Amino acid sequence: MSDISGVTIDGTTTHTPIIVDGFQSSQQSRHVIHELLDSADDAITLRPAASPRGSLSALFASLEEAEACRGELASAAVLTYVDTDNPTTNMSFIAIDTSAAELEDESRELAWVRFTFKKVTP
Amino acid sequence: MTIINSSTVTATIVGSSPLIHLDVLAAQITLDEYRAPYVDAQLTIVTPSEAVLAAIDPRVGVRVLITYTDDQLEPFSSTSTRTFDLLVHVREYTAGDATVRLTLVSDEALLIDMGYTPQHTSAPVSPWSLRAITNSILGLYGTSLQAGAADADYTPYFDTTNDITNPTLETNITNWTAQAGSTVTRSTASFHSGAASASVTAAAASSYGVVIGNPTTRTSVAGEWKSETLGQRRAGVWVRTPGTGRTVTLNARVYDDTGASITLVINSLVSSSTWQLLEGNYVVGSLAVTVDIFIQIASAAAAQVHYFDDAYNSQSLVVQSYLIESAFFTGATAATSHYTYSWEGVANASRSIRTRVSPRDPQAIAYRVGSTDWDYLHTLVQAAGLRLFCDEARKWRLVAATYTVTGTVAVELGVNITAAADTISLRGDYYDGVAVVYRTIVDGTENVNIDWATTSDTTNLLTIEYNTAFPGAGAAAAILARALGRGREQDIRALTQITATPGNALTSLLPDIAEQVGLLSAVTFNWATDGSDSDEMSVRPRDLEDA
Repeated sequence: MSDISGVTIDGTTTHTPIIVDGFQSSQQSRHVIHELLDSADDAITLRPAASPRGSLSALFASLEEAEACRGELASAAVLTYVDTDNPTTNMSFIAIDTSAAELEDESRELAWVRFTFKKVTP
Repeated sequence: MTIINSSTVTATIVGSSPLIHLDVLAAQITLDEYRAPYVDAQLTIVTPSEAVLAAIDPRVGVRVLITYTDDQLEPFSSTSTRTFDLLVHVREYTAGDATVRLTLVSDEALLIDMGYTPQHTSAPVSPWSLRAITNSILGLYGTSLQAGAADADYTPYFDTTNDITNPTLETNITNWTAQAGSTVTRSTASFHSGAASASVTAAAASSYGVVIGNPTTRTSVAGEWKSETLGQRRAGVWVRTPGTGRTVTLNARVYDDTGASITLVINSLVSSSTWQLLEGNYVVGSLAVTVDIFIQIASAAAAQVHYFDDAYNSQSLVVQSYLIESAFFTGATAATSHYTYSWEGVANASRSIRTRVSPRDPQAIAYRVGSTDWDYLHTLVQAAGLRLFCDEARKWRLVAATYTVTGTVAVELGVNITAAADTISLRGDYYDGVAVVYRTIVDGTENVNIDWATTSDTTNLLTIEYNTAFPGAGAAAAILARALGRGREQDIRALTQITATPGNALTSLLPDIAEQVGLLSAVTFNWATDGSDSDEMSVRPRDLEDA
């Protein structure tokens, strides 16, 4: 099956998923809210937010390709994510929490890699 | 209007080149006037490189400079920066952790950690003021006290005797004996004090002299004029001559139990027509049983007269290796605020006794083997009712209990308080009676001195014990005064005011409680890259009163 996602995940090798599904990213605020006693008005300490984190699922043509990508995610290295269709999502990132590779149920050939990432500024 | 600020905390290793920056995740910095070290900080940093981690070794005296910058944005714009130059005391790292915890303290830790070392070879020297003593210790660390008025006198006043039984010749000439062809008479023609002196006249042109003592008793060895005190002694006599100036030498003749003697030259001067004090130190060894004072006048003309008056021969004090010299006195000397004087027996015919007024042990200023520099100074500082501390800028201060710092910390409900507790308790640090017990063992005998202070109805007694010479009363009263200010405790959390310093005036306005005014006793600044208590401070007031 041809690559229709326009996405590459680069580490030491380049991984090209067929499609990418469920890309989402979020950023945690670190502002401190001080609840003042006897006041309706809270005091605020402004803080830079934490760096963005998010998750996505990438579908690969085979479990072998998926496992190779998952192995890359597990390496101690900063990876890059490039999406030619949605360049705003391009980023350098590290995989955090659990990265999973799983066989796609219907085809029994394709395989998903699902992972959580944290954007980094190398 | 909403109060808005932002803040940063950075840290660098002092003296590193190029400068090593530590990534601070959280900081908790406490300033507490009642605690030593005065500054105590906990720093959580991102685990640095292996080389930097190895460099942060408390054993080699690594210092960290913390810079806390607080930008107030609303309602008023201002920027405050405060730096804390602190010593790394503990570095905690668990392998694999992403963070390292550092415990940092102000410079009192140097003195607390430093035990007795060979560099302390002598006691502090005069002037015997607490500031001078403190500076002599701080000098070992290359620092000194900031200017200030708070001080205490630690002059070692000590008991001693003037063993010359007829020191001023006010009634007779007993015990002044002519030597080598001279005659000695009591004279009222010239005197240094009182109404008489000893007139010593040469029979011929030669050297001659006078012995102050009792040769008859001396040669029988069992004399009343036996020296009971050995070691460092000091003797002196006033001298004048109406004639040509001659070399006058003061000697101590030290006899053993066989009657054999050695003559120790103490000092000499050339006599003149004005009264001069001839005095000096000498040392008596353990074989000595008697000592007399022998004065020689060299090459005088026939019939030349020398007058002598106000003689003394007494034990000096050695504190550690420092000699504190005795001086002239008699049983008739007027009492001072430091000494009283009496005759051991009949006036002008017995030894004179000098008794110190203060119960303070003169050895209190001696450096104690095995104690730390901090223990040594702390005992003296506390007994003087003072406080010694080093601030975050490495400035040492010796201050009175009334010490305040310019500035006010206002914590007010509805304005900047996020949590508040008000406790009145007889537990914890509240005491209304204090006893400080000082113990020393001298020559196998335990000396116990108790310094105490109480209110009329004591309910909580604090007892503190020190194994040290009694430095005088005062510590108990100072500790009690502090403790009484803590009966009512307010633990208040408020928005950080980075300039807050113990000693600042403090006003607090809490719900259901009358407005209180007092002083800031301790403050803890909390900061973290995330966390709800960041940019808040805990304040502990003391001496609270209704406004």
